[in-house]
Amino acid sequence: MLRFILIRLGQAIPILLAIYTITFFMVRAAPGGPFSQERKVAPHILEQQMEYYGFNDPTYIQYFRTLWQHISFDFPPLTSYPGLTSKDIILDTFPVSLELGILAMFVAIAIGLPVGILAAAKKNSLLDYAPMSFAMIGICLPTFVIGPLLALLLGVWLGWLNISGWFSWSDRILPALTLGLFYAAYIARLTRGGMLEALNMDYIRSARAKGASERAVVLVHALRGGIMPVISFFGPALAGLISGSFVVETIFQVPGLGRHFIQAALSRDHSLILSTVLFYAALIIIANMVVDIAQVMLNPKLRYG
Amino acid sequence: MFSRFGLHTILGLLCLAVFFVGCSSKSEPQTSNTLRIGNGAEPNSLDPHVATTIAEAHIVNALFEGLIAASPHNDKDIVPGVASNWETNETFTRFTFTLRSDAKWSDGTPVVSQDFLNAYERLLNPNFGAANAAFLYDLKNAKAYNEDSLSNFEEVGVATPNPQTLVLTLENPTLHFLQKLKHWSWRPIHRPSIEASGGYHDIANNWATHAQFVSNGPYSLETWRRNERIVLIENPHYWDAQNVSISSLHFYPFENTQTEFRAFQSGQLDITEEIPSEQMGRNPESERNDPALATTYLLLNNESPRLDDIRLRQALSQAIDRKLLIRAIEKSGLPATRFTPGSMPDYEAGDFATNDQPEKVILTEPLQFLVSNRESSIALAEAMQEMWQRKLGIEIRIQNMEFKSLLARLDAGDYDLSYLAWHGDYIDPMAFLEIWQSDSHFNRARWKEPKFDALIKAATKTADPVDRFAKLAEAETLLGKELPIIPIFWKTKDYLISPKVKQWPASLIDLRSYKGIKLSQ
Repeated sequence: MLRFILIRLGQAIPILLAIYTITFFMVRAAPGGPFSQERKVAPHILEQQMEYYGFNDPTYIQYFRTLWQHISFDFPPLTSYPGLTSKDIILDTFPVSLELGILAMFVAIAIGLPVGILAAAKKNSLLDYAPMSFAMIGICLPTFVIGPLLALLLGVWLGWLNISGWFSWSDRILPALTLGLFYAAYIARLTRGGMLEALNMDYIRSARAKGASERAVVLVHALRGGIMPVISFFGPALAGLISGSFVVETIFQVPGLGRHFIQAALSRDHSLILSTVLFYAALIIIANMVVDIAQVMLNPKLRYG
Repeated sequence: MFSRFGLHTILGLLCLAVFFVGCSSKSEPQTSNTLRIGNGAEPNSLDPHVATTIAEAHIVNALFEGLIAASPHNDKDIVPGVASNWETNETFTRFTFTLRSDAKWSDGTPVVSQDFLNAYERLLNPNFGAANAAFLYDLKNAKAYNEDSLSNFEEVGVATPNPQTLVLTLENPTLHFLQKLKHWSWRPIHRPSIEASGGYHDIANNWATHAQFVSNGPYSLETWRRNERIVLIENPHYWDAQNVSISSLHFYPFENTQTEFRAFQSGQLDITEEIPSEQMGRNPESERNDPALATTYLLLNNESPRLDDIRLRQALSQAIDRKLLIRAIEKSGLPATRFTPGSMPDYEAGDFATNDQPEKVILTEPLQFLVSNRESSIALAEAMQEMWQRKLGIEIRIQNMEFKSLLARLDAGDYDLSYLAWHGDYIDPMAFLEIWQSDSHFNRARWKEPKFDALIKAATKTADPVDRFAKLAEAETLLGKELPIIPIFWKTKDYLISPKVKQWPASLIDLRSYKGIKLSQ
């Protein structure tokens, strides 16, 4: 397993380098600069700012300097937050997104898995159709619709929860629910599909023939195979969840990392764009690796390699 | 067996993680004498020399006090701040301020004239690169020092004969100088605490985020949790602390006006920054629409040959039914009849030119109208497109784009029309007129009119208030006749306020004193 991890990490290096290079040149190709504002800055001040942040240097120097900054974790001041670096921003906001992501994943699994299993076990019954139609709606309804609806219902009308902020324990409920419901719908569908396939396998017939109870057949024998598609989905989904969701963070004013992805691009903050993109890429690589390991652990037919 | 264990381990760890993150959260203390303010965008900096947005200024304004303070009653009044009194010479080129002896920093040390000199030197220092440096160009030689053509700061018009006296010598007679002094770029700063956290002339020095942050205003910084909340508490060393009624100000950033509105509805906020347009007029008991010094306008590319014809520009302006736009789309503001807003105190100037029979001008190709991708801007552009098409037969091609891309196109001169807003920085018509001078870097319209420049220059040189306003009005009339830009609305400041907030002052420039505000329980 160690060898597998080392190979995977070795493969990550060229991937990250390619992502860095593409992002670096895309950012520079975008029209408008970090200092352009509606209220225009005087030319000599613009020149001073460009010089201070090193934008006047030849592109190849900027390319290698920024690359080195990311390798050595020694980041320059940001153009959009002059007193901070992208490391400060990520260290500050990632724990929030991580917490929200894990909570949302928990919601997604707690709802999605049982619904999917039940739907597969009671195929073509009301217990299949009703939750699955619901899941379809969940997938189609974007978070920016579900979020405000939940906020109106639980926050404004019932007055149970704060509708914005990230202060008390209860402030976690609305964003986690909004984000989690969306993934719950996916997980329910994936689980149902995987379970249906597994339930048609020969070994299930054998289990039934040996007199195993229906409960044992579904939850012990079929689930192990049926959950595979969910596990594969888990990796990218987890990376997406814990790196923050711009929409949910904006709707509930959650101080997470997700909004910085968008804000950095909108304010053309070169350093912050590169750092957040690389951070996200690294998260996806790690999450996928963890999922691959989990799959080998769950499926005796798979081997590391 | 091992594989079963694997699945359960993953799920188990997940549950554990949820449990621990749940435990780590702490609840929020809420005191009764706290004012909770919705504040728009998250501030990028609270350093008064770096802050450029109004959201930052709202907070800087509570943290730092200048020579002149904002009036709690009437925005245009001049109220003593750190300066207890002042004198000016006959030509309004030299102002001598006497600082009050009880003015103190939040660490208890006195505020002295050197603190102002240090601040002005920092803002003007060419290596600092402050976006707002031009605000201090009223000072003699300040522009030269900022542009690095003068290296000795002693030649700049700031003198400190003694710790209680500050003498400011100006480039020109400046009758409205005391109004300009209210801007946050004129506030003093505490040099020792800045130097303790990094370079004094380093724009990336993060002194203004520290717990040791030293300020001299009615409030000082307690905590800044990014994208969550900025908490200010009463500064016990403030000279007028006995008249400060609210013990702490909480500023909440909101990127989404709908979220802000819901927060207000559910009682989490006392004041909002904005009102979502579909909620305008639906909450009469808490809605306020204060006059503001802000104008939205069509930016014309005066170098475009297609817009060269003055009759075309006048026809474009006249064909816009501003009242209809307000009723149907904007839901707020007033139809503009000149660039300087009607709310400018004591200022009379002519409206822009109209004639009864707008001329039909024939254009061979459609005009390019660039707007930002904000929903309301696109809707306005489409409505105007329709009005021009119907009344003038002029074809318009609208292109909406992300804001920085839009600015890049405007700066490259690759457009015919665009839609922007201008907010006055101080209470004087000059704040609206000076930007259209040929050599102003704010002049995105690329308009060059020697007559206009001469009028503004004459207004700058005169020490006679009547003559000055006459010159400015004449310049305004010229702007309205030539129409290098087409004013559309005079904006109002629309917000929601809880009935328990008393004496929240309206402000034309959205910079108010927090001193007199009270909360009823």
